[in-house]
This record gives sequence, C-alpha cells and structure tokens, in this order.
Amino acid sequence: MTQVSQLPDEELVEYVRGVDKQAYLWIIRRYEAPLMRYAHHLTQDKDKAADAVQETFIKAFSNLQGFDIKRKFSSWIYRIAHNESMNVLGKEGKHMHLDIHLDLDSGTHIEDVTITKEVQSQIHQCLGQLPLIYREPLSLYYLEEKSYEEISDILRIPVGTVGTRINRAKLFMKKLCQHIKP
Amino acid sequence: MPTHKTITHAHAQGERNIEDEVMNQVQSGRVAMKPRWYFVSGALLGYFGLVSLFIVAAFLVNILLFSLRIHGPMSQWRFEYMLGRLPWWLALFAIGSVTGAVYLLRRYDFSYRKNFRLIAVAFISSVILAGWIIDTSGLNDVWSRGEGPMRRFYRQLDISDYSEAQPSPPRDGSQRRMKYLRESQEQ
Repeated sequence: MTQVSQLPDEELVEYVRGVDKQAYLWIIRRYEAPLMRYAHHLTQDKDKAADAVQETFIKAFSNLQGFDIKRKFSSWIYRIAHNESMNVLGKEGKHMHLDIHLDLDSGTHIEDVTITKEVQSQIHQCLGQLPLIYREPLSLYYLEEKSYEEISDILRIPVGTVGTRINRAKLFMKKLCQHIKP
Repeated sequence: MPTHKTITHAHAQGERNIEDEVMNQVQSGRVAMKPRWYFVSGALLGYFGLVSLFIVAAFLVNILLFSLRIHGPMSQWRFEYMLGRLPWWLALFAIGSVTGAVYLLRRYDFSYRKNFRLIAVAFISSVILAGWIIDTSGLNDVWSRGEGPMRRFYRQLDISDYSEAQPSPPRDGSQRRMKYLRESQEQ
C-alpha cells in the first residue's frame, strides 16, 4: 500500500480504475486539505466548503473513467471542486459587488511586487472581501501555487484573462488591506 | 505509515471526516464508477452528431449557392420559391442538436476546458467554406448531371426552374413527389 501511496496522481488514478478502488483513499488524503482550503476561500464557510469537497470526491470517483490520463489530475479535480463550490454558493454569491474605486492607471508596477509571506498572510485575511471572480484566480495562484495555465484550465478562462484578473485582484487587495499589519 | 484508523482523530473531535464519509459510500457501493463505455459512447455520439450536422449544413449552404447561380434572372422569385421548399425542420433540428450537445457537454463534461465560442465560430465558418468549395469546384454540377444519391436531390432543384407553369407538386410523401417530378420531366 505504501508503494501505491507514492504513485504520481495519474498513475494512482489508473490503479484505482483498473486494480483496486480502495486506493481512492490516497487520492482523498492527497487532495482533501488543499481542496478544503480552496473551497473555504470561495465559500467563506467551513460547512459549505466541507459539503463541496465531499461532493467533489464523490463526483470525481463516479467520473474517474472519464478522466484523460494524459491530462493533469489536479486541474481536473480542482475544476470539479470549483463547480461544487459554485453550486453550494448559489447564484447570489457569484455577484457580490465591491464598492472600491479602482485606479487602474496608478502607475504601480504590480509585476515587480515581491511575493512574500507577508503578502500571503494579507491575502488570507483580505481574500474574503474580494469579489468572487478575483478571489478564484488569486487563491489558486498564491495559496494553491497553480500556474496560469492550470488556473486557466480550472476556471475555463483564457490565460490572458487569468493574468488580468490576478493583477486587478492585487490592486483591489492593495486598497482593501492597507490597514492590515501582519 | 499512518493508517486509515489513525487519521480519524479529527472525527473524534467532532469535526467532519470527509475521508470516512466518501470511502464508506465507495465501499458500500452507494457511489459507483461510471463504466468506460459511458464516456466512450458519449464522445462517439458527439463526434458523429457533429460530423452529420456539418455535412447537412454544408449541403444546405451549397444548395443555396447552387440555386442562386442556376436561376439567374428572376432570382428573387426563385430564391423565395427555394426558401419555401427548404426543409426548415432540418435546420431547426440542427440548431436544436447543437444547442443540446453544448448543454450536455457543459453539464457532464465538466472536467476540461472547452472554448465553445471558438468551436461555434469554427463550425459555422467551415460549413460555409465547405458549401462554397462544393459550389465553386463544380462538384454540384457533376452530382446533378451524374448518377448517384445526390442526383435526385439536385434534379429537384433543376426542375423547379419550370415548375412555375406546372401545378404545385404534392407536398406529402417523397414517393408521390418523385412520381410527380418524373411525370413532369416526361411531359
């Protein structure tokens, strides 16, 4: 079992599909914490996040034969978690507005900002206040450490849009988190 | 190595244990893996549906161009006549099928990113292009003169050139309709 637990995601999926479905346990162990974190950032509610993650694992298991082994499993399961979180949130949660004047021509070179632990801590504290469309890519990029391509796969938006949203989210964060001293 | 039992301390603290809840459902069979053929057949149906739709739509475009070209003078009247005879149910069926396919893909094929806008634009463009190529390459003329399954189809359009002077063909039943067309030709 130890060897199975050390298999890469895609091989583990193949093992679960073809040999032993009990090995799905290792997939749950690998992804429960990160998916909980992600769902929690989206839903801002621990119980709702747990509901979404449980449904994610059930749906992933049920559709495991549909997973293309040549793709990245983490993007696939994050996509399901994203959908389940949206289902849990309901439509009203998707359209929260943020009443902050955003000066996009402020001249700040966002790309030059060094990402430190301090920034990560601020993101944790402020993330809940961000509109969902900015919260999604930001949490995936900084907290889940996904690449732009993976975020694009998970959120089904072009890579360029991922970059734009992350940059705008950082500007929002700058406005929102001025008072926070980590 | 931590075992399944030792990890459940969170459960003892009153926290929800997703691992146990999911694995219980898996082990009890309440959650079953959908078989591979389910996904394979879904993909095949989608593929063949799209290909069929492409062929039908390309021929509709081609017939439209073909009819406009052969009619020449009185093209407006011919165009209206042709529109009246087009199988609109087929066009509606095609639109309905594509809409349904997109809906199903969005609902069940949740795992991979698909650019539906790009697919739709590419599909419509290729349909128009295919129709235009068939028309300009003269394939429709070959089909209308030669033998084969397409001949009947194109002959119907040819005959419509002088059907103005003829009584309207019966609209119910293809056999009766073909009989009428043959009789018209013999006259």
